[in-house]
Amino acid sequence: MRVLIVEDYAPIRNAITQGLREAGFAVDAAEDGSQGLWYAESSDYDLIVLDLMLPKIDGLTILKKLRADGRRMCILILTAKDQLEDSVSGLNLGADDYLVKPFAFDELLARVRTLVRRRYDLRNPMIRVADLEIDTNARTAKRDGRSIELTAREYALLEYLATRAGQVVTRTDIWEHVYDFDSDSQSNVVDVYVGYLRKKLEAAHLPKLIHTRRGQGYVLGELP
Amino acid sequence: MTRSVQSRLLLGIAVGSAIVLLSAGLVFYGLIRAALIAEFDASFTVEARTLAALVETEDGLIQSEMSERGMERFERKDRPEYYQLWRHDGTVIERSSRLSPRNLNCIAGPFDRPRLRFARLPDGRPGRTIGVTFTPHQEGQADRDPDHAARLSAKLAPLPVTLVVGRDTIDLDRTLARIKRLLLGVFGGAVLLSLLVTAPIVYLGLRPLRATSARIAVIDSQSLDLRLDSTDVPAEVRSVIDCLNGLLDRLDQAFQRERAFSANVAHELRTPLAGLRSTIEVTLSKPRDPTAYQHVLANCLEICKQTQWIVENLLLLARIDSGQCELRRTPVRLDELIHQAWAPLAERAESRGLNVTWITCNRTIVNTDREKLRMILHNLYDNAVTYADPGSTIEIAASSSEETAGISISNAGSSLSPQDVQHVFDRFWRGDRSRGETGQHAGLGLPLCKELARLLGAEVFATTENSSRFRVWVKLPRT
Repeated sequence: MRVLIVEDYAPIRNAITQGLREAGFAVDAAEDGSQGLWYAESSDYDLIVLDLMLPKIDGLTILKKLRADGRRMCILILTAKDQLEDSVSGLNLGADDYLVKPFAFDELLARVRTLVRRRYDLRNPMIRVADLEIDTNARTAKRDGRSIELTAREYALLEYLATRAGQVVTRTDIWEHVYDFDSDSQSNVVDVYVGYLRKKLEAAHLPKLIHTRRGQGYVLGELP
Repeated sequence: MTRSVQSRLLLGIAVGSAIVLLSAGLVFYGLIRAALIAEFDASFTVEARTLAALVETEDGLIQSEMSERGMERFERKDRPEYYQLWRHDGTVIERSSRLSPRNLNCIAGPFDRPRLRFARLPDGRPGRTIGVTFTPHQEGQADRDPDHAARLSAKLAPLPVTLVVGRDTIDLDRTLARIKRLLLGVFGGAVLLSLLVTAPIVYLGLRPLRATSARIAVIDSQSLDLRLDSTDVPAEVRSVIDCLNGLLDRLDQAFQRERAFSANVAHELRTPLAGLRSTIEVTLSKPRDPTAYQHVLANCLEICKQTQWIVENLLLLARIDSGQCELRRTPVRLDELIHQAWAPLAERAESRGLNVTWITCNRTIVNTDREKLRMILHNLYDNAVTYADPGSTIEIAASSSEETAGISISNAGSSLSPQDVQHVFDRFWRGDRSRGETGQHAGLGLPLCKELARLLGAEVFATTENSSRFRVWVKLPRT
C-alpha cells in the first residue's frame, strides 16, 4: 500500500516515512504544499498523511483540490493546532481522520492501517482467498495452515493482490501501490517479484493461486 | 471614599439649597432686625428729646423736672429705665433714683443729634443707651421779659449738658429670637422638602446609568465582541458608552493578539515535540545497529537545540515585555563587534556559497549594551544567511554621524512585497502565510531584534528593493 506524507518539519517527516516503510508501506514524502500536491496528482496513493500548516500551499487547500478532482484516496490530517475548528473544517472538506501533534506513532500506524482497509472496503484485518490467509496486522501469510516466509516487498505485493482478489491487477497498479519513488525502477521488477511470490505460494505442489492474464496483468484467486 | 452618584447629587442639592435658604434667611433676618431696631430707636429718641425738654436753667442754675415728675418708668422696680444728666465739665447734675449710685456711660454727642449705642445696663440687663447733648433753655424769662433774657444770655450764656437714657432691649431681643427660631424652622423644613422632592427625580435621572452598568456587568473575557448600544440614551451617558466601546475594541484586539500568540507558541513547541516523539518511537520499534542510534540521537539533539532556541527567545521577549531586562552600557567598538558577531555564522554562509561585502567605518565607538547589540546583529545575520539565494552576496555596512551610528544588512532573494515588509517584525509572522516551518525560523528573530533595539533606544526597520533585495537598518544612538 502506498502512502504520501506531506509534512514540512523534517524530523516528523523522516520519522513517519521510516516508520511506515518499516511497517511495509511504500512511502513518498513531500516537504511543502506544492510538492505534495504534485505528488498526489501524479500517483494513485492509497493514503495521504497531510500536515495543515505547510509552506507554499496549505493543507486545507490541497485537500479541497484533491477532492474537487474526485480523487478517492484516504486523507489523514496532522495538525499542531489543537483547535477543534481546524480539524472540523478538515473533516468537512473530505478528510477521513485527523491526529493532533504530538502523537504516538503506534496510533498513527493503527489509523493508517484502518484507513487503508477502508479504502478497499475491508472491515476485517484478516484477508482470506481460497486457502490463503493474510493477517494484515501481523503481516503474515499462511497457506493451507502453514505459514509462508515473505520479504517485506513480497508481503506488500501479496497484500495488494489479496485486497483486490478476483480482479485483474495491472502491472501499473502494482507499480503504483507497492513501490515508492525510491524503489528499484527496472522495467520488469513487478514480474520478478510476482515470480518470487508465486514460487513461495505454490511450493509443496499447492494449486496455482496467481494467474497471469497475458497483456493485462495478474489475478489472485482460484480459477472458477 | 466611594459614594454613589445618587448620594453625591442629593448631598449637593441639600448643601446648595441650604446655602441659598440660609443666605435668604440671613438677609431677611437682617432686614427685620434693622427695622425693629429703627422702630425702637425712634421711640427712644422721642423719649430722650422729651426728657431733654424738661431740663432748663433758671438764673444760671440747671434744673430738671424729671425727678419731680416721678416718672413711672424710672421709678418702677421691675426693669426700670435709667437716666443721668452731666454738666459739660463732667460733673453729674442728676440721675434716676434707681440708678444711684451707679453711672451710665456718658456718651456725649454733637448738639441735637442723639447717639445710640447697645450697652449692658449697670444692673446687667442688655440694653440700649441714648446720649443727647443740648443747651437747656431758660425758664420763664423769655416769656416775661425778653430784654432780661437777652441780657442774661449775654452775661450768663447757658452751658451745654448731656443727658443719657438707658433702656433694656429684652423685649426686642425676645422678638428677634422668636423670628430667628421661626426662620430656622422654615430653613430646615425647606431643605428636607427639597431632598424629598429631588430624591425620586435623581433616582429616575440615573436610571440610564444603572441600565448601562448592568449591560457592562455581563461583559467578560469571552464576550469582548459585545458592544453597548448608545441609541436612546442621554448624551452624557452616550459619551461614556462610546468611550467604553472604544476601550472594548482595544481590549478585544489585545485579547485576540494574545490568543494568537499563545496558539503560535503552542504550535512552535508542539511541533518539535512531535518530531522528537515520532523519531524516538520509530527508532525504538525494533533493534538497530549503533550507527543508526548515533544518527537518531544527533537528530534529537538538533531538535532540542532548536526548541531551546525558541524557548529562550520567547522568555527573552517576555522579560523585555515585562520590563525585566537591564541595560549595561559600555563603550563598544562598532566595527569590531560587527565582525565578531559574524563569526558563528561564517561556516553556514560558506556552506551556502554566500559572499559577504563589508562596508564599515573605522573606530566608531558607541555607548551601548554590547551583548544585546550582538544579539541583534546575530539575528539579522542569521536571517540574511537563511533567506539569501545560494551563491549570492550579503552586504553588511556601518556608518556613523555625530549622534548616531547606522548598520545595514541586506541579502538577495527576498520574495516579500512592500506590504509584507511591514510585518517582518510581527511575532510569528512568516513571509509565506501557510508556512509552518519550525525551528530557528519560527518568526521570532526579527521581532526580538525590534524589542532589543527599542531597549537600546535604537530604531530598526526593513525595506525591500525591487522585491528582490531585503535590507534591514539599525539606527543606534552613540551615547
